[in-house]
Amino acid sequence: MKRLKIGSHRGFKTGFLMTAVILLISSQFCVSAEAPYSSYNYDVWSEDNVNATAIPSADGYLPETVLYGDALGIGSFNGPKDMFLKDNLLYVLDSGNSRIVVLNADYKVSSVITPVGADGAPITFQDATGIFVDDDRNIFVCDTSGGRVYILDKNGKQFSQIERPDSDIIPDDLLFKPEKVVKDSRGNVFVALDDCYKGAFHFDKNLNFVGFFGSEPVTFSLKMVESKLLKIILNKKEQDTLERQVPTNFVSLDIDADGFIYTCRATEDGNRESAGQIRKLNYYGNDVLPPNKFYGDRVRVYDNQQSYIFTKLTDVDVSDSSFINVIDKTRGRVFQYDQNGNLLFAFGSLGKQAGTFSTVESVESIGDNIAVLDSKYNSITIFAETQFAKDVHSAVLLHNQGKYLDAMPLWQNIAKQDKYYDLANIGLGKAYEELGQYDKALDSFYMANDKEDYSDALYASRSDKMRAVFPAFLAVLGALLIAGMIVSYVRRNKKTEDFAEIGRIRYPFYTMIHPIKGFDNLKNDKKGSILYANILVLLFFIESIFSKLNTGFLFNPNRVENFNIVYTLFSTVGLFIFWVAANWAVSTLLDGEGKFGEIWIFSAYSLMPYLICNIVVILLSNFLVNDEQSFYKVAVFILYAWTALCLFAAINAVHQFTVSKTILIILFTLVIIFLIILLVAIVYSMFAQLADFISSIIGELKLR
Amino acid sequence: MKKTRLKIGILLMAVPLLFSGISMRPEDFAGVSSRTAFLSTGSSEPDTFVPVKENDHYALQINKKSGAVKVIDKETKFEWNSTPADYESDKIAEDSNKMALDSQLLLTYANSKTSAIQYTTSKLSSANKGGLSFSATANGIVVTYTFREGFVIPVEYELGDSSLTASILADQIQENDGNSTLCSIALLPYFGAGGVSDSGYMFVPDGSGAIINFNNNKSDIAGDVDNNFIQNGFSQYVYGRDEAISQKARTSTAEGVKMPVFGLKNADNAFCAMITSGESRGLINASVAGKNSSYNNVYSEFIYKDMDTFTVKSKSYDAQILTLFEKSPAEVDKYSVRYQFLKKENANYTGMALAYQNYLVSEKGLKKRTQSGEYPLYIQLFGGVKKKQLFLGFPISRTIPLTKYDDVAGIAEQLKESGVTDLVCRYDEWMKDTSSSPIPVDLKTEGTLGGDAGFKRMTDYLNQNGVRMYLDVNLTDIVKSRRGYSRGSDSTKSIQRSPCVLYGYNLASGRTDPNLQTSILLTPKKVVTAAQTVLGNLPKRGVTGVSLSTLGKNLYSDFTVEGAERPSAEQMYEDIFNQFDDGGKVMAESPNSYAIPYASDILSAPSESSGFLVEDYEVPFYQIVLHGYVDYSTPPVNQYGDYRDIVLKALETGSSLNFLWAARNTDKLQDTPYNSYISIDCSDWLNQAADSYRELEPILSRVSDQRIVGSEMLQQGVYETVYENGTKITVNENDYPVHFGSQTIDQQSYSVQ
Repeated sequence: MKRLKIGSHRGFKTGFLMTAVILLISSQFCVSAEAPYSSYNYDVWSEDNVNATAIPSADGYLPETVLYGDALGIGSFNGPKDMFLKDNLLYVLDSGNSRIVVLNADYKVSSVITPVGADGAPITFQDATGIFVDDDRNIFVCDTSGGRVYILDKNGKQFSQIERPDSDIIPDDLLFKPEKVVKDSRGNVFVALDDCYKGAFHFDKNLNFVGFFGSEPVTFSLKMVESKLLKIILNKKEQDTLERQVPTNFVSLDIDADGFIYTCRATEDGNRESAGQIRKLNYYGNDVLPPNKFYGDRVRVYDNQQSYIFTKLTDVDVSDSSFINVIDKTRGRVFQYDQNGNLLFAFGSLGKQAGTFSTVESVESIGDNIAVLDSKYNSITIFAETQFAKDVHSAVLLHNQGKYLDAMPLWQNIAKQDKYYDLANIGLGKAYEELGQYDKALDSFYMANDKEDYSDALYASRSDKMRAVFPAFLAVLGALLIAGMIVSYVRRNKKTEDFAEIGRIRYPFYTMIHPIKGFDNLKNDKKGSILYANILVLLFFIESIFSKLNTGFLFNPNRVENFNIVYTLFSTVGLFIFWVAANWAVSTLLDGEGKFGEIWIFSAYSLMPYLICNIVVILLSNFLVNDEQSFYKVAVFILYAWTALCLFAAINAVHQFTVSKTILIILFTLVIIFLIILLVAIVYSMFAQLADFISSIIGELKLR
Repeated sequence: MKKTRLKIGILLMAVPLLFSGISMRPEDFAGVSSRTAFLSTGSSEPDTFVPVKENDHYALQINKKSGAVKVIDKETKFEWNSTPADYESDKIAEDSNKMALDSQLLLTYANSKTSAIQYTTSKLSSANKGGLSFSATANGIVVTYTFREGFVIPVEYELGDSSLTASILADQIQENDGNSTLCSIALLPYFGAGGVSDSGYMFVPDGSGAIINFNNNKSDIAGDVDNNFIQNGFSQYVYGRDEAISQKARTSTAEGVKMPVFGLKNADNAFCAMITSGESRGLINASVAGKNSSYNNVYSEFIYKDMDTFTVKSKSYDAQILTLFEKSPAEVDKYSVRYQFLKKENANYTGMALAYQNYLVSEKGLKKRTQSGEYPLYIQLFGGVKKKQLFLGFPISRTIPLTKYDDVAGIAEQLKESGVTDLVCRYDEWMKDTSSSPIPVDLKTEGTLGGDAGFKRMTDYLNQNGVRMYLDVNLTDIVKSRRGYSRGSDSTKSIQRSPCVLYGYNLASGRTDPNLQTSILLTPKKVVTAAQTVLGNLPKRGVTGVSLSTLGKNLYSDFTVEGAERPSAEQMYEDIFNQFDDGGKVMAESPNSYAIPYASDILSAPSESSGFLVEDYEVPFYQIVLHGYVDYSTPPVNQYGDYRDIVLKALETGSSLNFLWAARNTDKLQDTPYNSYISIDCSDWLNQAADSYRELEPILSRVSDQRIVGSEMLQQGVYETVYENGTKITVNENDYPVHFGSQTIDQQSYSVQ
């Protein structure tokens, strides 16, 4: 069973070949300015979290050297699986060769440790996957298939080990297959297991089992409900055929200087993506990273069988400066995040060039460099940070300490090298805010699609402006109030509210304020004007455009740049026409009195509250900040409730129905609108299929 | 175990076919592994070498039993063998791999019905079956191989003064058996191969050039990568893959093979192999000892009939992949490789580069266009882009000006004030409708950039100030059908006869992304027409310099037109370059060999190799070939990660610096096809550019018209370049100072002697 996984890697038959090689290769490949991959980041404006738009970005890391065992003079690595940096020494777990190679800061071999048992016999790893070195330079090695964690002294002599503990809380069917291990400063040892959803095994400093640590939270999915339901119906045997719905388990561990434990797991949960693959756990096992962040590649790709190809994060590493690196086995790629879960850099790829990979196993930061281990290529690739990444790192650290002005020149330099690097916009925004340049700050936050900071800046800007204009504002407000009181006093004195005398122009306002009475009178007076109705519909359309373009950034669900007038036309005028037509169709069946023209006019008049209130809503949206959004929501509610009430009154009046019949006809109308839209969709998809069919026939004919 | 090894060997040989994603099944090789075939002796010829041809320096001999050839250096007695002399004692190669060692041709062919790819060697299917016949020619011999699969392939050997030319006489190839389609032929796969005890290296023209050391122990570095990458070793298409063959995914980015040349150095002897005919259907392959054999070999392979795969959807989720082959082979009379022999002080990659330079000068018309004491700065200015913008709420495609005509003069003026005396300017997307312009044959100006008047002001200023100006004209990509160039009827067609679309690739997944802008390739014959029109309209614009960026680097076939495959297209493009050279000045960007002799300026010469893992280090082969003959620049400096690195690289490779700039609106490129232009604001870079120019100009202007005669990596990250006039430039790219002899060079610095 020696060389379990990579046994097929044939060693060289000829001894002299090896020595010849060592003499010849005096240097490894040295790579410089151009990366063999396209560096990218994700567009902050992406609407879909799991299928985001990747946009080009400046290179953060470039491959510097590729290390091979042969070139290091110690013979080829054989399926190395993990690395760990301790005291500037890089420990490489060369699993297939059952040895630990220690490299110094110059990437030269410092020592090769051959593990030996307490009895002096060499230890052969079955399938070693994880290595950790503690402060006393004791070495922990996880042997997954061997079912134990070896604990070796710095010379490789085993003095202890961790095996499956005896405990009631461990399920009987749980195999002890340790993958990764870390030890904190208090001597607690955490062992992550393969296929164990209960979390890591937690041992105290005497290696007594304490309990489980940091299990992945169970995420709710429809599939779980489905399987729960099926379990009620199916018998035990049939149940076994169901897919197991268990929480996923994390596969890697790392620990930072403050004792926080970082974990990562694969992206898929069942057959869907789930967020929060990277966690930073405090002593109680609680995640302290921002919730619901999605890590790794955010792109939906299918294989030939039309099933998803997921990002598969297999190793996590936290650098001395607290940047988090993870590797994606699916695409041979390293992702680096800051402590807020922002993607800083994505680099690496599958391929055959320096800086690309076949099977990535481990990532480890070495000062400013990042090492990536490939078990197929038997190589360690060292990536060096570029000047760009240096600037980003310094700027992020300053930013997180709140030193926005100190970070400002760095962010400016970063923006010079990548106009679309969003963190730079946020950083610059914060600096502008501190400088009191609120307009610039707002622009920057807008560019970064950062609503939270935008809200803060807007608040600051508002207070600032308020201070200047507050006296004037009070004066105007007072004047308006007095004027309003005078006007209402004069009007009350006039007392001329006679319905018959309401002019055509005032009617829409009248029906708005007195919907029930107003529409009834409109029906009787026959003073509805098709011209005014059309003007109102036109205004409805124009105001919708205005609303989409001018609603404040904080409250606008649409991106202004994506605005399309044609969609707006359909969703206003088009919908209005559908509504009138559908209502007319239903009402003729239900003996409604309203004629088509009347329905048109009445419906149009009932848009009046929308037209008036929306102006207030749009104004509010530019003025309010996040903390005050309840005001905005109330205003929006009033807008829709009022409009709905008017519409109801209008339909009620135009057909002279009872209340219950009106409700009925409105429901019917909505159903008809739904059916019309469905019909259009079906026809559209049929035509699309027809076109597809014809094009495939043409394609095949061409081949004849 | 043997079976696996055999399979690995076959996979290696079938490298180009693997690109197309074809899976091979073991039963396809049943014939190959038959041992009886190996034992049967079909030829009664004796197993010895007989003389064929001799001159003052070299003698050509042939073994009429196996077909093996050897060239003997009469002075040194060194032998260049097509079959390694001691191959039979090789302990690694077995079965078909061993037979490949004694083969002059390796074939891949396909079963016409099942499209399954099969592989054979000339030893197994021809020599052992008595399929060789010989006929003498004036300078050598023609060996005709008759394969049991029905193929008849004549190969001609010609002994030159200090060279051997091997040619596959493509126009005489026969495919007699209707069941088999001949896909590709590898020529002299083990010619000069180095054994485990030899010391030397192989040169491959990957980007600027790269070296693969003999026995570098990387024979199994490339493991199983999902994306149909080559199984191991080096294998690249000359001039890149034919763009008319579909490429479904792209993950890593390679520099590509720009020159059809490779080489091998074995101690004091070397050859430089130049593909002199049919190179655009060629591949250059190399592999190192260890996995398949004990030999290090580099060779060329030629595509006889190209193939493509396409997806047939019967249901939306059930996709079927079909393989199609070209109906008839490309119009090429022969595929020739000239092995130029080098020895002693010339037996290195510099010698190979100078041999290729000599070939370009004496046979391809490369002229000396450089002048002493000059060192230009190259700038690429980006005119404008069409982007959807809101106009009264309507999304309308409008031109955003990035560099107006007046800005061009302004930038030139600023550079002049900063001390840049010698300027070469390429102007991109300058014409009417800028980025979405149809084939811009009429050379109309764009109003938002300044119109005719602005254009006139610009050209007047540039002409008065001696700026070498090139207007970029894209003659190959149809973005919109208009003005006589239709995306349907004028497009180049794939093997499945549909228009070839150039898709954008998703950066994260590497798959083609339907949301990104596509363009359609114009069929080569129409490119010629378009070029004539442009040439006719040039005087109207008052400009003599034209940049034909895409023509120099993108070469593709039209598989539905007779005589429009890559070799014919290459000839057409070469003629176009020639005409533009005669009619004025022409700039080529990162050009393939065929464009180099005609270019008066070369933009973005590849300054690096792709860094394939099998390679050991990169060398400035491309630059050694060019230096002293034509001015060239690095790729745009401001588009890459480390500025200082590329400045040092420019010094090492004797290149000019190149900046890609725009004057305004540089934050408006998101959601356009140019979203990778993330750092092109001229005001951010101008001072830095001028500083770097002033740093390099005094050094490199001393050698502007000098050839590079020596190039060497002294130690890791330390490169020395020696010029004809004795100037020696040593560059230390490391982050630490280096010492050698009495000399110390600081980190990221250099010394000039």
